[in-house]
Amino acid sequence: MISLHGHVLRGSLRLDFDLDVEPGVHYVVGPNGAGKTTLLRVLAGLEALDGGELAIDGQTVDRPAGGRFVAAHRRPVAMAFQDHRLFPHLSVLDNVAFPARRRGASRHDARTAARRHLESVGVGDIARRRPRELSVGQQQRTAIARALATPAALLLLDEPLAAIDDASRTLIRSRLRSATHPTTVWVSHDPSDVEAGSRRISVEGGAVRQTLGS
Amino acid sequence: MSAPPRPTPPAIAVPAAFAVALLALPVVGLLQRAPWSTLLERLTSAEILDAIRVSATVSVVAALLCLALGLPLAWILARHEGRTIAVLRILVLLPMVLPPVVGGTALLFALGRRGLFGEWLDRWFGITLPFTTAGAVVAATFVALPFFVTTVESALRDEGPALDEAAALAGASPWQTFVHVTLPSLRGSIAAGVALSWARALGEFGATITFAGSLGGRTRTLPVEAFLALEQDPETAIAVSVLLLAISLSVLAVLRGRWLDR
Repeated sequence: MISLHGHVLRGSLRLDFDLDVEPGVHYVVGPNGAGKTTLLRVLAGLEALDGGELAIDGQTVDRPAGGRFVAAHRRPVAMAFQDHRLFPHLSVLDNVAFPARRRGASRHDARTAARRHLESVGVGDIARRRPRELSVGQQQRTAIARALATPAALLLLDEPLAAIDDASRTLIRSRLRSATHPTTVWVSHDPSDVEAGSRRISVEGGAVRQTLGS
Repeated sequence: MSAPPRPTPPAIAVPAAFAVALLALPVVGLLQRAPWSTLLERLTSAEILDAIRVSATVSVVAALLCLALGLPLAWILARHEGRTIAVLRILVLLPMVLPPVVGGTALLFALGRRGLFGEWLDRWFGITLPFTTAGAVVAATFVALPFFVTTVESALRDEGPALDEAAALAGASPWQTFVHVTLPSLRGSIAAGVALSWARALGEFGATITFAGSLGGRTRTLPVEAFLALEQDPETAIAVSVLLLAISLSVLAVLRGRWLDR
């Protein structure tokens, strides 16, 4: 359960949040530049609230009035960035093994799990390559696999299918919908990503709130 | 496929040619005066071997100090903003534009035996820097540090916070991020910074002779040796200069392959 009530200021723009997010998959919809990525960055701890409070699973992680801010690496949050952000010096396999290694897993265990995650998004065969040798679509799948390999209560996806070819979208989409993370917040501009009757978060006109799916 | 040739206007070509001449003529002048037949002999005399040893020690230790002290400083400059950082950046660049003799004089008044801090170093720790090899290392580090810091800082800035953010969201603490992401992803720039600062330390003259003097076997580095030899034994001065020129060109050749072409 994620509770976000508050606001951020960006120059003269203000974005107001009014969200109580239950476990499950939530799609974030809204026009370009409305603040969809900002919502993800606030949840992740990459941007701080200017007022209000954010709690993840009952734990307050951001409350400016109380001087409380939990840094990104201490939050139970995983994220797949729209621009992938793979570590250039690591192989694809070690990029995906990175979260488990930082949590103390042995190299062997982390790589075994990473291989499984890569296979689940259909790129088990590129494990030994470096990020610079990948197509944009392969980079995006690696970034998705890394996020899936990060144990967290909350999975943030920023346009995860933007660079995925049409033939593979169905596979990746269903893989993301069945992620083991209790809550997923999924930014997409593609209506076919959004399941019928699903829960949605709309970002429009400076307001971020839940809307009912149609 | 290649771009079609574009003519260069004479107003650009002529001054550029003068610039090339200014850069190339001293090199040609040095090479044509070099005592090629006795070069090896001159460079292996006891005095020159001493200077080579002092120079190697001083420049390598200075480059390692630049790495150890400059890397954290570059990280702070690249990752923070504000007035303090702006002042720090000017301070870092200062040795680049300051005449080295002024740097050496300043070091003398700060770290000399009667200097602001040197007096305490001497009294409390028995450490005396002026006219010692350690002092030559301090002088070389002082002038070389900006080369390391600016190289690494600009690489850190180019990379931006994107990878730091990705590492944080994968659960890495800032220290883990520094060790496992920042350092390895910047190793090319760090190596370039070390090479540049080492080359600068090797060529250091003004601050060294002012602060550390020219004691044979202790502070008399190759450039100091070349300068002192110029009056009595110009052939040896030229031989040392050819050696330093060869080393400088080698550094550039290595950097070009690893870094400058990118």
